[in-house]
Amino acid sequence: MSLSKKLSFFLLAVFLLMVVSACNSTTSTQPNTDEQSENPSGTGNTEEQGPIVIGGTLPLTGPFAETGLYVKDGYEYWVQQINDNGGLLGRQVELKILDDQSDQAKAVSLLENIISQENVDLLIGGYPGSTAATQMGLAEQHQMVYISMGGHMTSFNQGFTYSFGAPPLMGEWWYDGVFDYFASLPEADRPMKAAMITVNDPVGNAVRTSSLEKLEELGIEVAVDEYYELPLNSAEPLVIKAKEAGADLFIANGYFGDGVQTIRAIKAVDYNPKAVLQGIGSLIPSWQAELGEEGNNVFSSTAMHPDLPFNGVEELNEYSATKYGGDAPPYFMFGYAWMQVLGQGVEGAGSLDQQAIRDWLKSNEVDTVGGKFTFDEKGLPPEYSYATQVIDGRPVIVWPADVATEEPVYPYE
Amino acid sequence: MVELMQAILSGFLIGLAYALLSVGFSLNWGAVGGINVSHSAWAVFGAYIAYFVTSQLNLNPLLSLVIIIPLFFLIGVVLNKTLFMFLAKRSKNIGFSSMVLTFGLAVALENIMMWVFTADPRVLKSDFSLTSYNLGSVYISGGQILAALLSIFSLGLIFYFLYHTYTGKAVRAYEQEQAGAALTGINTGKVTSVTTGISLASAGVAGVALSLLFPFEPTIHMTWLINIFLVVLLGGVGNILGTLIGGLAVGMIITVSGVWVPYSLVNLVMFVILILILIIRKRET
Repeated sequence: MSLSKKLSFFLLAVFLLMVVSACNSTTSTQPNTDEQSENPSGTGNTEEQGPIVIGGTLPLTGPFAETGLYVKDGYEYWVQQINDNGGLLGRQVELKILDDQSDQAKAVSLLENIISQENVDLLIGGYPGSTAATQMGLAEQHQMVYISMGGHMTSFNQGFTYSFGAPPLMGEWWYDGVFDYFASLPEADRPMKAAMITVNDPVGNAVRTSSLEKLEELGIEVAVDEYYELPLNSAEPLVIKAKEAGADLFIANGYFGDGVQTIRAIKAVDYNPKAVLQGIGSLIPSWQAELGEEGNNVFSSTAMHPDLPFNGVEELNEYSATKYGGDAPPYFMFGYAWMQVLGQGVEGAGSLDQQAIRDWLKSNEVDTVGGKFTFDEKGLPPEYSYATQVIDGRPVIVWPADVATEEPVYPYE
Repeated sequence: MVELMQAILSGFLIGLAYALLSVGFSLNWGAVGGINVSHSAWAVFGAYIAYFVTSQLNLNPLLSLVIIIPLFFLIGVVLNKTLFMFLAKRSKNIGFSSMVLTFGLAVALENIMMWVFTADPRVLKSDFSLTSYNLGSVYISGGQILAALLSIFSLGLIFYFLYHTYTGKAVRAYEQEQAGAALTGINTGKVTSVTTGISLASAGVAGVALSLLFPFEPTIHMTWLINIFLVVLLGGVGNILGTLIGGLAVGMIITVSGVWVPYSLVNLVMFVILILILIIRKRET
């Protein structure tokens, strides 16, 4: 076979691979157009006005569906509760969540449709961060309040005034809790030298940048600082590099698959740092289900957790015990918390006027299952994160001390 | 130095698994002319069977081969008797049409796996995966050893079949000259069925080997497919020994180049080397 033919086949294969990603997200859910909001003002006779419609998109199919469905459950549970308690501003609440099929472009066009054609009264945020980041711009354009996790600090630096991270999930704040814990240790017990490997994408980059700042603040030398592309073919060379450099702190800013390979490589090459920080992978249920003991004692961080001692968490855990057979999943809690903030904004403003809701949220404190928050001009609460560690197969909060449920396992075993 | 030696060892082990993954694809392309882009999706299916044999039945993952090899061989034969033979009769360009057809098959298989097994990533783990061995200053895990042994044994078996059995020789003869092979009395229908069967069975075995090295989920087959194309383009279509060398080359380039260049550039290095090799080979021919 000639070279040109081989290359043609290869290029065709690459093209087909690109097409498949589109195909994977083409299971469509058509917008439900049979229910319209009749009066967005929120004034007058509540029975005549009909329900308040809250619209948004979520990935209900496709790669992000697992998490998206948890968020949707959180939205629905809040709506169920608010309706059982007399509704919002005395009106029943109706949810109109469309499936964006984990496609960012589709999420934006669907949200435009929700705003312009469906005329919903309120918006609620999308997921994941990349989708939320683009929808934030659209919501700003239509001057509608948009509450979500946001798309890391860059999305909150766009000058948007109607968007709120309530609470957000910030790569830039990711390891704050863990570094605060290190800072609490006597200097002699702290790690001295760090090796960091980072997945080359916006999330990894956000976590890496903030980690470098924190390491500098703590006076921890950075001996290895490497990016890698997904999929990670082999973690051993990277881990050996860290071991050879004598790093006693290993930071792996990545996801599940690469995280698993990294942990296995650490065990395989008999590398024994004082602490292992693993970005996002160690927080998902598969980490415990698939790695078992191998995945224990890895540090990470979160902005939401079923062990938090805040109003409503216990009730969510009870509900989740029936629905999911365990504690409230963090993304279920995120969805619920975003709805709580939106609801409190509406009740606080006393109307569905978007500017009034925005202004109320910017000048008042909200109370959620993720804690009490106030928001700055960017729509962000004060910087925070909770340090977690996988102990006996479960990610638990280990820092700060006032919310911690377990003592940290340090040094790493 | 330790880093380099570890990179060489890791590259060698990964390369063996990629060679096994690619050998059936290459064989099918070379002998039957069909480019089965669902090959890697079948490998993922094989990985799932090994996973459930290990996690649910608490057995050694290698025992899953008792199910995988006959089942996948049979599926390969059925695919040949239905899809590929149908295409061979209807299409003037079986390479292109089989690629499009099996692309649909890959998507369907992925969706079925997503539905049945969910999108949750899986990790094959057993007692040996937690064990590591010290070879001087470098380390090797039990899973890596098992994957390497499985790959070497399977590649050796395929090589033996092709070069030391009558049917294997018939497959090679058919690959070299289809009309001539038919004139000598070779049953071409049987040859293509056996080739596709072996191809798919090897995909299943490769899935087991890869599951010992990497976490996997239904969509991972697209990544594996790119590596298959790289290995086959490097090693030559239908060339078993070339596929082994191609696999080892891809594995080595990925890991060893990371010693000298930033790890984020290893894919770039690999594609640059691939282009250079193809240009040099073109000039030589």
